Amino acid sequence: MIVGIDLGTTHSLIGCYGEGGPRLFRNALGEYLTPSAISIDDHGHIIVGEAARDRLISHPKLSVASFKRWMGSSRETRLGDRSFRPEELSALVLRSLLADAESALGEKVEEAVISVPAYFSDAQRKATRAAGELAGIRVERLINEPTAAALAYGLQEMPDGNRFLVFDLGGGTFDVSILEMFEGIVEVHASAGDNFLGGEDFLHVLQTACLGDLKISANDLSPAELAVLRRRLEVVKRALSQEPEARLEMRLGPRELDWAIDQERFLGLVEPLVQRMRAPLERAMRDARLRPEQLDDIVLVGGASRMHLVSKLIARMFGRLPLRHVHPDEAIARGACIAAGLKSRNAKLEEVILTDVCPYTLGIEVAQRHMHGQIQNGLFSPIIQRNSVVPVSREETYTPMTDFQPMLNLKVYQGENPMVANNILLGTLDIPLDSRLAATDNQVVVRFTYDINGVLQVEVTPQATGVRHELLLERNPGMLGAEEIRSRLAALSQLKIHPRGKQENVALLARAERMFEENLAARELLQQWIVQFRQSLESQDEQVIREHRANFSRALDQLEAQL
Amino acid sequence: MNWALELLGLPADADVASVKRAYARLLRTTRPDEDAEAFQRLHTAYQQVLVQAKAREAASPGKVGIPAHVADPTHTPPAAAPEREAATRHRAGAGATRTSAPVENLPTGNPDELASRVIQQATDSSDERALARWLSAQPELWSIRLKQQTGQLMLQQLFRTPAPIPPGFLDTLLEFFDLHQVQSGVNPLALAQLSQRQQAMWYLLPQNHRACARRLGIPTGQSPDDRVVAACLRLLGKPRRWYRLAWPAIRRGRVTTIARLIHGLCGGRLNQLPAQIDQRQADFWYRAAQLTVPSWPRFMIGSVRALFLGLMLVSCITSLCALASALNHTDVAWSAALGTGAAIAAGSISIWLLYAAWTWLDHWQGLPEPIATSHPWLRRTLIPLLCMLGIATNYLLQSPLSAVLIVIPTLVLAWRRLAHRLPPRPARRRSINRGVSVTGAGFLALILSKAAAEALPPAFLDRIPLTAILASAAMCLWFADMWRQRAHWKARLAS
Repeated sequence: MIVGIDLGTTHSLIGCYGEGGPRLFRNALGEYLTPSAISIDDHGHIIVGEAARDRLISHPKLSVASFKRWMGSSRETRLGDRSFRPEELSALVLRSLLADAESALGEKVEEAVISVPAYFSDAQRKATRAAGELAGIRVERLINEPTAAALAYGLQEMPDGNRFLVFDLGGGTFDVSILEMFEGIVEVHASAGDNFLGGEDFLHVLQTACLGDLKISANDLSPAELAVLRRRLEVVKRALSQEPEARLEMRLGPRELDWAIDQERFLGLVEPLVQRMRAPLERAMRDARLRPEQLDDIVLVGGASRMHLVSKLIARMFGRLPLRHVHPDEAIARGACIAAGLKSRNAKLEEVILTDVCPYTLGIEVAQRHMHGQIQNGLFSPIIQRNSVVPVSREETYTPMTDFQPMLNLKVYQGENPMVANNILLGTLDIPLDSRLAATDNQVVVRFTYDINGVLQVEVTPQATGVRHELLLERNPGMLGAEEIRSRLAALSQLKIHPRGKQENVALLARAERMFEENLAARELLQQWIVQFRQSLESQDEQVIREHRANFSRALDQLEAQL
Repeated sequence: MNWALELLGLPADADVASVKRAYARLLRTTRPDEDAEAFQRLHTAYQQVLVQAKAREAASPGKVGIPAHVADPTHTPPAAAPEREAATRHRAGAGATRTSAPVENLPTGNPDELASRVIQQATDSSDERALARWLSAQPELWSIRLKQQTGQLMLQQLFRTPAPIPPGFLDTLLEFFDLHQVQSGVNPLALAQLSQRQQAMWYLLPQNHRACARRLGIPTGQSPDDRVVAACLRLLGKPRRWYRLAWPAIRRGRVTTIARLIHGLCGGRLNQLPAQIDQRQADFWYRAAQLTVPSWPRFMIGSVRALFLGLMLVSCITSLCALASALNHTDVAWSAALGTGAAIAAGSISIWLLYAAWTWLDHWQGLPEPIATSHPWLRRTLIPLLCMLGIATNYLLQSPLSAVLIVIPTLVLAWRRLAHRLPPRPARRRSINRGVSVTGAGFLALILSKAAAEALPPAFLDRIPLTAILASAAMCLWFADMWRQRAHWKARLAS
């Protein structure tokens, strides 16, 4: 069975392609959305999801979230007495999702299609694959998030001969894709994006403004207090999409906070972020060679696209309002499920074929000699142009700078700038040349092959020797090698995840503890409840626990409503 | 018949819809995730035919290009928010008149006029941030279409008539219009030249002299920077005369300042200097500042400085003598003092001349073989000629000391010639190689000299003059260099 997974910055979902189309699986708490958060409890057990997100407030040092933003880097996060790479944290989320899928399907899941932001780089894609391997599954395909959303939208609406733009503003990433559907073919024309722009950034702007107005330094707040504040500001942010003004009244440690913000001020604050959304939209339109009026639809996906300012931005740039009838949180996961169905050759999807593009330009560093004999170094020579349809393979011929050159140092870059200094270095390769030959006889042929999963292969062949050299991009710093993945997999599988049956209890306790941190008034009552519930858990009597859990949950709901 | 049409199985006049249908049909048998190569071929063919079909349809407006799409208002689920209703309305409108879809509430403007306004703003702006803010606040530029057109027109205008815009501002403009990227279709070299020209125009404006000094790193002397820049520009604007040379030559750092200014104005390409600058004057000062390459300007500047130093020394000695005579009330041997002063002045000038001659010779000999010079054969055979001259001095003139004085510089020259003309190699290897070879040569020399001292009769060494040993060493180095350059020799002989 192949499952489709949306591994998001804030939330993750899992599903598969079933009889009646894409089908999402609920987690132990009965929700489709599992927060991408990890926490470790006192016994060293791993907690994933809602409970872990609640524990961000009660146990900030033992919990972590938003780690998708660090994918592709070697940053390590310390939780308790162990440190985790972003791949490992993602793998823990994947394991929890897979457990949900396995309990719903009643069979073992071994393969998956995972969605990644279209603008994810080579290193970030490889890190996502490594996360899949660390979770014990084979990642059959990585699908770009806007493409997945478009698949979900396209198969739901079946618009034939339509061109549409998918605007995907998630928790941490922003992607734009322009697609066309005809005769069952889903063809991506162009993708563009920003890997560091999402709902979290809007929240950060709000947090800075709030603390600035109240003259509080973020350093004075404990991590727990900051987490509480962020949670409340998230509510404010959501309220601002609906109402002209939102108010924040809360106790934060010793401080009483009372802060209000209206939409106009909010728009002014996030203006720089809105500006950053313009360039990818413009670039995607230009690369697709389309005029705004040639688009049939603009589809919004991703939780953060609910913000009012997004529709306003679209209206200002395209002169029309976007469509909103796709579920912004689930569209990508549904699309990933459809991609999984495509991969497993589901009979219902026999007619659907998807072609995707490589969202960035790939090339090498070259130097150029001017007419006056001056040499300009550090120029970027593109080999695969961005938005080429994948799989794609292109080759170019290059000449060494000097006669009798013994060696050629090839540097592979990804990016759009004409100077390599502003692009991302993917890897280097030293190619020995025949040092007896003049430059014109010593040319090399560089071939780039970019496959459907976004993996780049570089082959260099000097014409004189004909020996093929291949670049292994896996060796880059910040990336795990096969050996390391194996050892880390062994270490990770020793970690115990809370059994699925007990997750409801864990989540309830985490919620109560979070409320204990947030509310000073009801602390004694909450403490009493927590102690009572722990006692019930120790009794190990399923009947008692179930009844107590229902009561406890209801009591917490009431308390939260009161506060 | 075209291979692409053949692959898709289409007639030459196929319309867009049938091209797409054919592509879709073939794609089912060649899926991108199964046969990458066949898919690539199919896709290339599809792109090619599609472009042709679209061009044909654009040429004959009677046909409707895109398959007529009938929007269905019930297609969208029941609206919950007012904006959704608006969207539905829009869909209906767009569907009915597809070819000229009315675009709501988009600002309209003339892109040509807009481009001029952008250039004007870039010229007037005080800093890059303000320019970026201004650009992002323009309501017209929010429209995707207008922004694209404006960007292209702005660049065209600038290529036609460059405006005094400093490089950082141009970068801001290019970034805003997304023109500074590999696929913008703008030649990066042409853009670099434009940037250079605009920067020069900006530096030449009097109000920008201070910023110019700061950016070019012109050292702050006694006078304010903008006055230095203004003075240098005044000098560069006048034709070259010998009397204009003296004053800047003896002022500390002035030559470097002028050269930096020239470099800032043209980026090293003197033929692209602004019209206000005298080419010959600029060429003179630019070459004068290049320390590694001997040239006439450099020689002139050095001579002026040596002369000045000599005069200073003479005047110092004279004034010291005058002071001494005034204090001691005694007569000083004026002729002796003046003689010393003159000797010192002549000494300083001749040291300069010797140094200049040596650097010139060293540079001339160290030039790589392929570079054409005026006397190629003299350049190749100078070292053997000098060695012969030394030996001739020794034997014919019987003057061993002057012979050694000729041969020692020759040896140094031969060594530097060899070292300069080595082909460039990766730095690490070179140092290892050199270390190994120097140590090896040292050992070999030690062993050989020991063997020679043991084997030869004691008087033998005295009979070989020092000149001959040094000359043969120089010849060895020269021969090693010529052997290295044999590939060029062969090429030259062959041609």
